[in-house]
Amino acid sequence: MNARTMAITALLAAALMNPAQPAWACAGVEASDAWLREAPPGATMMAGYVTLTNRGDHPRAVRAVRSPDFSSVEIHRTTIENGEAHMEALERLPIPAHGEAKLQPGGAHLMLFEPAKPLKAGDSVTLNLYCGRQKPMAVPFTVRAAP
Amino acid sequence: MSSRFLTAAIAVVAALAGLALASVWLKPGTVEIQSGTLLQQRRALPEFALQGDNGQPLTKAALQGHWTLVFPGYTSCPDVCPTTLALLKALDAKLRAEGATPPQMLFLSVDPGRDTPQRLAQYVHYFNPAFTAATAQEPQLADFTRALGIAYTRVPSSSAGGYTMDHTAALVLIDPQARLTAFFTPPHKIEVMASDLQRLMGAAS
Repeated sequence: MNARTMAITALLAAALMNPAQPAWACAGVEASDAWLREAPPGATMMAGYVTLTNRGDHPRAVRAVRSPDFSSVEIHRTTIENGEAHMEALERLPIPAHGEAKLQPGGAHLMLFEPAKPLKAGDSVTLNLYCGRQKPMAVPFTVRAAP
Repeated sequence: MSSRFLTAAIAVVAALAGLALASVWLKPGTVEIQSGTLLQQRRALPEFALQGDNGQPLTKAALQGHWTLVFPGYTSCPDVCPTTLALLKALDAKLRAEGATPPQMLFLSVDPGRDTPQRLAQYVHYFNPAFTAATAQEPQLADFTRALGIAYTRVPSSSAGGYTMDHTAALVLIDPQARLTAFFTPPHKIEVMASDLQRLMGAAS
């Protein structure tokens, strides 16, 4: 990708985001235990998990996730109410000041659509987490076959 | 026949049906399980015709002669469904290690629109080659799930996935006479489920 394509991509990405939100990035946020669950063969969706810790004095929120390795990425949450499993899309994932957001199996998770290539345990992919319009936080995720 | 008589007749039938259901569901148990609900009176399943993961019909006969643990779900569910299948894989291994014959695991897809037999086979065999899967078109799927006490709803979504399926999160245990026996409810704990299963499968029905 040359500089011009990159600039256009960045502009497009910025245009897709809500222009009303402030342009701060994920300042003060650290990612740990970032992993994707290895998917069965033929699966068109994968789930990703990560712990986001906010060391700063300001609340942050992940508003979008993008990656060249997937057609799209959404933030979802599994809930079990009255014995029924339900999945809902979240518009944002808040990370309170001096707090954390934990994405883990059976709760909030990243829903990754259509991997560009089959991903096996041990592979690594980078997901870009956007807290605002600019400067995504690039987080490496490792593929695991874990439960 | 007067409409009043008809109304009264319907009321009587409904009341009897309610009593019958209550006697099945609410009767206090003498045997108890820690990981869910045991039906005090096992309920025979009606005849059914599902589509197995090998593309062949899967009927009630396939449930005879061995215990079966049914897990309702769908493959376009990357979080809770693989988590549960991985748990069932560990449960299967634990029971084998304890010298028991594990129940046949049956992944029942409530999403026949996307889950073809081939896709289901790939999906469950990734976890364990001995696991099986099935689905059915409507109304067979609705009939079978109703008999199992499982609910599911297709939920439209603006997500890239198009739609999601809400579904009962319980696992359903069927005995070797193809009778509904117990529900295991989340959160699923392998140790507790294994000891419950050992007791149930070891005890005479």
